[in-house]
Amino acid sequence: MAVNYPFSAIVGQDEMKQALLLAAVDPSIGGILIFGDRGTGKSTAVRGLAGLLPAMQVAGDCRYNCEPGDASRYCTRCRGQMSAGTLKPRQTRVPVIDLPLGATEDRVAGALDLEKALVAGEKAFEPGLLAGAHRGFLYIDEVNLLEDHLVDLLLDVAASGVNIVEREGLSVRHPARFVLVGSGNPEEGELRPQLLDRFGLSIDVASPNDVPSRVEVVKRRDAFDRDPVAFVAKWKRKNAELRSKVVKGRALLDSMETPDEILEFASMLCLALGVDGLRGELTLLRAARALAALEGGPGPTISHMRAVAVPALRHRLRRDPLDESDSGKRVERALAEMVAP
Amino acid sequence: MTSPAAALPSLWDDALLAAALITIDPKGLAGVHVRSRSGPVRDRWLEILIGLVEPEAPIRRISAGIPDIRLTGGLDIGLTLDGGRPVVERGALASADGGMVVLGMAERMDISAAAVIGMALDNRSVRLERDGISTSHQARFALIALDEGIDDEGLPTPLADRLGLRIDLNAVALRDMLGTVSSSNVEQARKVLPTVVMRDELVNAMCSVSISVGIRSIRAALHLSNAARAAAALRGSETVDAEDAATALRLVLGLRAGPPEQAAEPEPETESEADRSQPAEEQGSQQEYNQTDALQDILVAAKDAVLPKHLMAGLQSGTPVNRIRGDAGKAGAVRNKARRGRAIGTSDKPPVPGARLDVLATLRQAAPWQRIRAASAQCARRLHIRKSDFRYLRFREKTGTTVIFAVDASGSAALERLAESKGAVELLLAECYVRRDQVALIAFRGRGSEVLLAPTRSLVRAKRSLSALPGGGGTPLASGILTALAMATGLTQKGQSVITVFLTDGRGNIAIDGGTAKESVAADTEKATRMFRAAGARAIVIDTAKRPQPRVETLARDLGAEHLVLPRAEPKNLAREIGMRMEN
Repeated sequence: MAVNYPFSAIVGQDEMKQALLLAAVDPSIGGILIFGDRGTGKSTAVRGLAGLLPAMQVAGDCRYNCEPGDASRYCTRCRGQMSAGTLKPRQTRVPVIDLPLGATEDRVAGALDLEKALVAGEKAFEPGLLAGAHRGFLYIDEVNLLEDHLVDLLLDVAASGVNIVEREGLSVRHPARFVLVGSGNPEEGELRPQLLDRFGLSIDVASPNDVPSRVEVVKRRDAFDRDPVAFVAKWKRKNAELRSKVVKGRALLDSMETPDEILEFASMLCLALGVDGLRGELTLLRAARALAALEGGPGPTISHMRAVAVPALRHRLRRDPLDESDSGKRVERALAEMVAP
Repeated sequence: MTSPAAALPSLWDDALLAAALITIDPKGLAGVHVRSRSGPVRDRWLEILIGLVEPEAPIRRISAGIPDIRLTGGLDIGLTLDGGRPVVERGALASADGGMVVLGMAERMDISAAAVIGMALDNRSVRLERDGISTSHQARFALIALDEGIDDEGLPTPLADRLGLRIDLNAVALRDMLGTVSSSNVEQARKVLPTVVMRDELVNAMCSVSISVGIRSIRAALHLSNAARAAAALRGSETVDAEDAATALRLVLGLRAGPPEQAAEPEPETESEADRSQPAEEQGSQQEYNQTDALQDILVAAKDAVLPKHLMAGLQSGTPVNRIRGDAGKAGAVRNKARRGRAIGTSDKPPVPGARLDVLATLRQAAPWQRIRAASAQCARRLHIRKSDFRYLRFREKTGTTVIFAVDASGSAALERLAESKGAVELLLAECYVRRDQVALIAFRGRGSEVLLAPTRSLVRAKRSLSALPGGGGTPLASGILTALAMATGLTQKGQSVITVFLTDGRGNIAIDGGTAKESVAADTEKATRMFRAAGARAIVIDTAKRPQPRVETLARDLGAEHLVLPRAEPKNLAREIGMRMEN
């Protein structure tokens, strides 16, 4: 397997890295959209994330990544193995699945296993990418170029957490809860607003425009290309630090309390920006909690909320074509006007 | 190779150099963007390039319209039917592993297909998730993109950003095509490459230059460093020097800085250079070549040096150098009963007479029944397929609509009219998400017309290029009509439906040649309108004057256009009226 560039060795792009870590702490934040210049390490960051995440437990050799423990949520096979007493949990890496452009629906959702059908005459279901991404991440580069019907399918499943396949005489349903990460370049076409809204956080990335960071990018990339193994070893400690932050953050999350003033702040901010729907408030809250957890702090504060407000809200503002400033600026403006209670 | 004191290498020399560098470091440089029409120069260059590749390395030629399945691979239907079990066929990218892919007419490539190639270049492998197959093939190839585009046409961005080297063969004459590259040098260089080192100052300097000329992509910085290193390897040296850095700047960014005598050279190297050729400053390119001073000089000179015109255009408008073509992306106005376009699924009845059979879907349909049918079959066959299993491909054709605004930006009404159309452009774009239509804007004023916004779907781009709109001067109506017609024709050829919207008071007073003589103005306008009408281009002429002018009505009739009176055309009204016409 090819070695991935270490997550912690990515120069700059703090907002993007933070958003991915927040989703690692609390996947219920929803998907992450990364839009911006080409070559800013969007794919590198997502692939690097795979090497950072702590291992997870899976029930047996389950193809749907069933979570051990809750028998009511097992797939048919796991249930069968459990009653036979052969179900042994094992540790595995959190899946970060790539959905390449040109993928067809049968591979995304799953379909009849053609080989088994043709050779053995057996009617078997071949799980797709959605099954593989369960409890992990599903990454789509150039999400704005993906065929609309696939995007609709993905969003449907991402929202419900269940993939239902009814085709070729098959009727299958399996859990598919994953963090959808999409990246792209807005100059090649934007996403429909109703799609934007489905993503939890939205990140704008830009190429670094100062000489030192560019030089640093070139030097690190060069070192990696020359000797990937040594480079990864060099960044191992930094990666491990981030990993332990994520692990501790997850543990903290459940016991974390959310003060009322935080809830109030979230509602006021959304009101000021004219963001409709609860989704904005909810994401704001979850992201602030996840950030607090990531920092090991006791609970979310107003400053956590301020730190996540732009990525949580910038894609939810109603578009005003005659307002020149980009939506991130509008969120910042609203934040500046909010008086700390 | 050039000695430090020699004149700037010719375009052909640079082309040879690019051929050498890409074969030395295909991984680090990804490919070559070749701007060139088809012809003997390009053929000769390709021949030399292929001569440099190891003889057993595969060379795959593909064209821009290649279907996804041929690009990435998929199910081999023939072998699958023969063998009765799925057989995976490699696509063009995977079968070029260890060699090269030559992409013809790259400027016509669909952006999604380009993105697929781009990902293969990044990952050096192709991920296949289609037709029931989930696998990955190694695809370590260099891409040679042959770009025959004119003017604004160019590579789709996913490729333009990734290809490390760019050369322009359009201005190379047959008599310039001297020399070749020795393949033993290249072979030697491949061995040297891993040990080549580069001083930090050089990395630093190259990064500052790329920033100072407004190159935003970080990939350019990586390509610069890899190109400089490959250039050093080609010299047989293990240390990158300033000359190598200058080579990298030329081949990666197209920055051509030369010593002063360059300006006196009789033949202009490209048309674009002819416009802008200005002597570069005296640079310290004599002896102390390894000195950072000399380097800084080269770089300073590079900054003032001759930039290709399309690069300049990119810099001025703040868009990346390699602009995207208008027709990027997915389908707009949908024609679901198309015979070609992108496959969007299957149906059990032929959607159109003579529809294509989807073999895979048919197999899937038939698969579960094989055992039963085999048991009751009269004859022994490997596969039992019945008519009821047949599944047909449904296609969706991309026929987005492009609205071209041709705006009279002359005189006093200019600002108002421009503001209105600008507002309408943005409103249309904001509302056009689902349909994925495009908008373009042409302004005519002063002595001619100008494309302010090339067809785009992106609100980001539109805002950027419309933020400062020029206005004032005379009304070169004829020129405006012709520019709009040229754009409309181009778009129609790409399969778009086009509506041109003229906002004008209909009073032209500047002829095509920029003169103001009444007769020639009238003659030119008449000629332009006649051409427009003859082309059958769809248009609306909108009169925004407080009092409707009969002149405008005449113009609309002459253009074969619809006439609309919208006094105080608010952007909203304008957008609504046009939006209504886009629907049908």
